Amino acid sequence: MESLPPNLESDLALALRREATKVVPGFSGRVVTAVKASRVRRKIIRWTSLASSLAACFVATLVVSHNRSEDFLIRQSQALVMSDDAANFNAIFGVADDLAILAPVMEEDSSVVEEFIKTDI
Amino acid sequence: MADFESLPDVDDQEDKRLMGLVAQGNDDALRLLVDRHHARVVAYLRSQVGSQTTAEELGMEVFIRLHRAAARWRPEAKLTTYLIHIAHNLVLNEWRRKSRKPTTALDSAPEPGDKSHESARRVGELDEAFQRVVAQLPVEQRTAILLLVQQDLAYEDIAKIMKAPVSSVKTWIHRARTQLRELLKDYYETP
Repeated sequence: MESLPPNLESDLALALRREATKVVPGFSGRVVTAVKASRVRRKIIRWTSLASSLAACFVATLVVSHNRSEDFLIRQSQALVMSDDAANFNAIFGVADDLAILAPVMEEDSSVVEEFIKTDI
Repeated sequence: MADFESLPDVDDQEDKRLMGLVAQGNDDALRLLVDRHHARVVAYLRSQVGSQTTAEELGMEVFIRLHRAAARWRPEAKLTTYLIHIAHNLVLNEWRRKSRKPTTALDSAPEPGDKSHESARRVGELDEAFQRVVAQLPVEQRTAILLLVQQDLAYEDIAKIMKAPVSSVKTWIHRARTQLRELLKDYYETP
């Protein structure tokens, strides 16, 4: 390998290494401050992430329970509708019942009944 | 190279001990590590990016990354090599960010030394001259010569950092020396 002029290589090394010994005042303090800030930032990110996960779980639970209550409501409504229908039927059949109750009376010979029958409504 | 001014004595065992403490979250150990190594890291970055401010910003990032990696760091290589490796990757990112590979690393002159003293002035001039000529080298040659001469790394370590074969590293260093000789010819011929 070709060598540099007599003093050149040593001068080069001296110059470059002298550069590498120049201390930057307060550098380590700045690094430690930056590291602490970075640590706090990472802690905040970690807690935020955890909080977000918990919030997501909470929302998911709400949604699931909401769906359940919706189902429940639907079932309730259906039951109500059904009971309403039953009421209608009852109303109808109730009349029928009333008629049924009246039926024996109607079947019996009665002047009143006969009058009813005769009457052209 | 026995006549060269040596870099501050960097005790590898002490580095390992301090890294263990840093991994446990000891900020004083981190401060000590930074004090031990920041000068050479910042010097390398300054030689590559040409700006003291950018070099210090990147230097801080080097140590922040070191801190993050402390828990999983395995002392297979010297800590200094590891630090320069991180610094080199940050330099590549910086060039990528600026979308250019600088042909001249020094945008500004190095800080002047103590001008009141003649010898200090001459030393300052010499340093400046060398910084300027090194900055004029092509990127690969500059990186290789800086890692070899300034950072005192072995060819194998330089090859790992530059992700290139050792033979390429040797070629770049040979070319760098040739070019430096040419660039500094006038400086040495001037009485």
